[in-house]
Amino acid sequence: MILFKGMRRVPTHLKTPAELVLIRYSTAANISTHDDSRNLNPLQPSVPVGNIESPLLPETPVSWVPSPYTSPGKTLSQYKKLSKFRLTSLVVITTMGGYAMAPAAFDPTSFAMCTLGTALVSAAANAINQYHEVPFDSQMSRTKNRVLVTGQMTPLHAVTFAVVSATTGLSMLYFGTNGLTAALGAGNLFLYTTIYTPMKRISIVNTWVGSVVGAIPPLMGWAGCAGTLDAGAMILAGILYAWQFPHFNALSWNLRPDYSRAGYRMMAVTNPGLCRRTALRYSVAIVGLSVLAPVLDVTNYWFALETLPLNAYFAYLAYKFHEKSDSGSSRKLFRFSLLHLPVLMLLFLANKKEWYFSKPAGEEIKAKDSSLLTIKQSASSLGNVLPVAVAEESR
Amino acid sequence: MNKCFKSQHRILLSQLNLPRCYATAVQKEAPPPASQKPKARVQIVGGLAHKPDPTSVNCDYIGPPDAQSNLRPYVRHYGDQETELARKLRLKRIEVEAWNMDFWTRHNKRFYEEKDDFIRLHKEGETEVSADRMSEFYKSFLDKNWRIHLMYNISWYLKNFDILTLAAAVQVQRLLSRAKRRSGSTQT
Repeated sequence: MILFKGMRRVPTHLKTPAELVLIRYSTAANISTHDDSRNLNPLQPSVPVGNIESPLLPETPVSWVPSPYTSPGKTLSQYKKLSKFRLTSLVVITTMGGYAMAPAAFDPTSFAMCTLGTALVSAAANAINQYHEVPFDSQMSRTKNRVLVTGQMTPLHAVTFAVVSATTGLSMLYFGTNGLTAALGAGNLFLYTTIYTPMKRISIVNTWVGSVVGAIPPLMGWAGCAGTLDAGAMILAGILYAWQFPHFNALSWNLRPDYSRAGYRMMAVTNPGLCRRTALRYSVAIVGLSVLAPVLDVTNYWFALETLPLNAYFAYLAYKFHEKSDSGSSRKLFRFSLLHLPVLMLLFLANKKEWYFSKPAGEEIKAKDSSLLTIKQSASSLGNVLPVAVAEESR
Repeated sequence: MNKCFKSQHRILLSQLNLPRCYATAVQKEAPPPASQKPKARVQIVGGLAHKPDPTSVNCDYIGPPDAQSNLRPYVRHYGDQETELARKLRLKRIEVEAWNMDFWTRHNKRFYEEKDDFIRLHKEGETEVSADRMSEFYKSFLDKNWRIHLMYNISWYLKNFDILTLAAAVQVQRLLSRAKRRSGSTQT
């Protein structure tokens, strides 16, 4: 940290508005010299755990900032933070995977609608979650820089964003794909905001509910493409359900003091043994489900071979976590889980059973004979909204 | 090009009638030296050093997190033109913020005290208490406070929703009054 004479550099990892400011030395008497003489970081954010006598953070020239506040050019980034953009992206990837794996023709319009709709619904769910959890997020160091906690946005603004986003997303799902996808999206939104979020403070069963929330997006993708759900869809959903456990248990392992103080009931806090066992159990289940995928005609048999090293390494990390259970092993498991999921999705795509869906032979002969054009029954409601007969493409 | 965009930005913002913050202690941002990371450059207009007086500022202010409750205190501004609804909202917000801060101060104090007691009890010589041992404390703390947390949760959700509906009503009121003023001014 280079201190220029008269310019105070603030550590950038803190990232709250008051702390990301370069202050020009001015003749104002406000600039205090006590921090420099004490040789301390004046904006040391972390109150040492267990020390309630620690003094209030020394006021800097910009301790108090207007609320709400948007830095110029940062509106979009605020919305991204509100919607937990990276998490939403992961959800969208799983939905795209579900869409791509469904045994039906690929329709670019319905694909785009399905993906965008899911993204918007997920963004809405995350915004509502952040709205509900402001005081709890303030307690935990992982979440204390969220936009609602730091006052950059008002709660009304966040809820309005959520309502608009949910309405747009669900409409996109309903009119762009079909009713089943929209129903799944609405159900998932309800499950996350109304059941999972309050349950986090009531019982450890919230992790199981949260895993169902994570398993629904691929079902949405599948339904968006095929219009129905079948056993193959359940394989994808099952893998995602199982993935949530090693992912979340590893994440929450290092945050036990924070979770306990904020009042969250997580396995890592109340039942560490169960936490370790479920992480291992479900990572082994992923191995089993991946081997089952070719049996149910979702992928070819190479898939089982290709995913074996990936899933085996995942299970190995989970085993290490089960044995050692320290911050190193949990972090490794968590980081690998973030890599494991996209790679698994890619492998699913690469090994899909059938890429082309053509008409059965009987119908083809009929079409060739008659000069009439057959009307395409699409799985997309868009075709039903616009009453135009779309001719079936000849392959 | 820059000038155009900036003026459009101003016009748009003025249409939205956002609370205007006239900076009292504006720190002009110096062109940063090349050695500094570009990520650090976020300029705050209107930042203040000390807790402002509610009547002297033009918008709400938020301060640094309180050391005991970890919540950030707000200063809710008001002026002469404050409507009845806006006043209700402001008072409700102040009440809920005070209630929140009080709850978490007491809660965190309890947590740290019980944690210190536990550590003192289970510390063998100079070694730190193991993470698994600490888990027992965390679990017992959560179990002891389960009912308190549940009650707090319900109360917080209800109060938060109350504030939300009031804020929505105030916003609608502001929009309507602005529409009335504009249609009134075009008529005259």
